[in-house]
Amino acid sequence: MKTEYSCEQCKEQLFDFINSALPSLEKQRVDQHLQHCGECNADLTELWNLQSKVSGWRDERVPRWNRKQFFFEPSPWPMRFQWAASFASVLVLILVLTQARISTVGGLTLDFAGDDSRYISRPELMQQLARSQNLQRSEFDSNVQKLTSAQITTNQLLLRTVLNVTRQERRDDLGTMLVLWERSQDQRSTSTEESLRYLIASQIQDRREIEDLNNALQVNNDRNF
Amino acid sequence: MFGKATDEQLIQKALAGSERAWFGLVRRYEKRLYNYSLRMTGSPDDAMDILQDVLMSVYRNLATYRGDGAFAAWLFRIASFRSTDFLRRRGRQFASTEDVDIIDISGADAGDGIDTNKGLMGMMNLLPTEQKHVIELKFFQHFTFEEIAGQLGISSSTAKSRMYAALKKMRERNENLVMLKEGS
Repeated sequence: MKTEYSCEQCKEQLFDFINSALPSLEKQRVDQHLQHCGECNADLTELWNLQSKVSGWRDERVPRWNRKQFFFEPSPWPMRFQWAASFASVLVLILVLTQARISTVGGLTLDFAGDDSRYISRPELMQQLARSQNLQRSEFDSNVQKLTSAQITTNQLLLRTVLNVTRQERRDDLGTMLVLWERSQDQRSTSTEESLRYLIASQIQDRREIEDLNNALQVNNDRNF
Repeated sequence: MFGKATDEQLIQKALAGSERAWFGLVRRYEKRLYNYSLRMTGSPDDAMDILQDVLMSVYRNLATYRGDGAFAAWLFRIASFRSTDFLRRRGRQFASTEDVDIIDISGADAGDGIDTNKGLMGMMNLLPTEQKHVIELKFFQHFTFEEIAGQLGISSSTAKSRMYAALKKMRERNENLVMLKEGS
């Protein structure tokens, strides 16, 4: 006969023991140990209790969830906050149905119904629209007119400036031409004066030569006679 | 059609792009995973978050499933990681004790389903996360200690130690409850 199990060896087998999964020899040795070991008996009882309790567990149903969306079309909202959109819709519906009016100290008012005095009939609305259209049209015409006159003034100013610039440029050109013409005239008169002087000097020289010839002729004539 | 297909067949089709096969796998395991998460957290909202987190993780890593073990073991290995991570991120090891009623679990009478579920969630609520995992995987998911050890990255004897530590904690809790009842 084999020696009796220690507590450690017994505990190794206890789970199989309560499930009748032990060979007969091991079963006998566990039985033998349990006859005088309080601690292992307590563990055995606890195992029985737990196993019994566990068998009473009733699987709970998985809450509904959108598997396709979760795996293949992930939402930007975490799963547990996806009720927020529905909640917001229901809240707005309640506010509209109860004609709620929310005002803040700062003066902001959210009115989900308004009072009837604020409503206007269709003809009134059409009249207001027509008035608004006329007002817009006249404002448009006035603005176009203002723009046109401003454009004309701008054009005139531009033309005047261009004319002034052109005049000044012409004046400058004429001044330059006059200076050049004067210089040319001066050069020409200087040249004429020099020519005249040369001519006068030549004539004086010619006259002297003629007088010398006359004198020479007279001398010859006097000798001949 | 898909009801008869094996996990491996569904996985192959899902990997080939079949949405229907993927949803077949999801439907096959979501209830089991949801109830697992419910017992781990004690809160339906948290359980739903973990369920979706785990399934999304499985969906993204399906190609890395080598098929060298049962798909359920692989799935619950991911679930263990994700739920541990979830509970750590929440900054608590236990779900709030106000969420569930803690009732005496020593009685043999299971009572009606709702009370039993609340009682079991209350009981799980007493345990640290690592003990909770072992109880969950052993008693509810019926994995062997070797499989549990593989899923949690611990040795088989550590898994057993954790189970007995959990049993001891439950026993102490029950004794306290009995003393309180007798006192009142």
